[in-house]
Amino acid sequence: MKVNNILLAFILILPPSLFGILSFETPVIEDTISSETASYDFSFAFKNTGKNTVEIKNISTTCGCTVAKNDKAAYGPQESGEIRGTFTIGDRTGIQEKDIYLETNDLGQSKIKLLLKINIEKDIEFKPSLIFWKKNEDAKEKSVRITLNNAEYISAESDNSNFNVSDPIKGTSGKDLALKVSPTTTAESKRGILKVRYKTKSGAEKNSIVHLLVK
Amino acid sequence: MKKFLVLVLVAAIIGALNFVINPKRPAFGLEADEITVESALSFSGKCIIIDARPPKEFAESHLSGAINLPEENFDEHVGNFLDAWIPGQKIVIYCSSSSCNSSRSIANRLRDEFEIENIFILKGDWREWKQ
Repeated sequence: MKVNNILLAFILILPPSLFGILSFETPVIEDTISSETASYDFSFAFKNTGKNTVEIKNISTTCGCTVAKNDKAAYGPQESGEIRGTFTIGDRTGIQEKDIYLETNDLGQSKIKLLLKINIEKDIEFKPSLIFWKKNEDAKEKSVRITLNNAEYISAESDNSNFNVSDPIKGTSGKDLALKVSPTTTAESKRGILKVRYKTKSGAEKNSIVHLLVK
Repeated sequence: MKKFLVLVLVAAIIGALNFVINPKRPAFGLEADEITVESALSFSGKCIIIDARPPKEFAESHLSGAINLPEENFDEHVGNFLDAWIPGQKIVIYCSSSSCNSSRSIANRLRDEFEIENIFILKGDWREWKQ
């Protein structure tokens, strides 16, 4: 009984390094990419710096947009490996944080969290992306500020005749401009889209939209 | 048996101390804009519910009255949300599980780009709300 207790106490205070341990070069990947990027491939390199073989039992992510897998199932002591994956961008913009969880058979490190932190730069930004009038308020002009990060402005128009759009007003920085928009009336609810056409650095012509709403 | 319990107690104390002093300990509290299923239930019908999961998962099952606004097809779906949006009304966003972050991303976009307020993120399993 006494021997069992001593053994149990020994196991409870064992340092993790006596089990297997997956040491990652970095558990966080940070990067900045263009919004024209369709998908982002990543790789987390690691080494088993423990004394025992570690088996990766499962890999899960917090987003269906991120797929990750290991190059083999088990890693012996001092063996290196990689968790490779792909993050599909879609309409995502700005800073994106996607978690990747590894489950191992190791008692000292059963769950490992990796983080993908990607800043998806926008070619063109609007402030705000929604111009809103309350029903029956004055049908006054409201502004949207456009910042051209990696783009050249071409044109802007409303998708319907319920909203008027001014010519662009250039800002001082040369990278920004403003448009003034007004509804023909606020007597009834209506929704519109302000389509802004621009050219990207690669020469492709694209549309981006600002939503217009009377409600 | 008594000795075993003493050992477990000692291990628990060591674990608790580690939790107190470890700078990388997990956060269990809710952020200011996060709500539990219990709190969301108190909004009963007075809020707009956004389902931030991919369209395929939304088609399989979702909360009654929820509007699908996924990250990957945000531009395509945001018009449906604006049609349903009532200014000033509370908005509750959920995604697959309590650890998913799509609802956080959608909340940030609606706040930062659309300047919409009163947005809450559901922490916990949305299926509990369904029940």
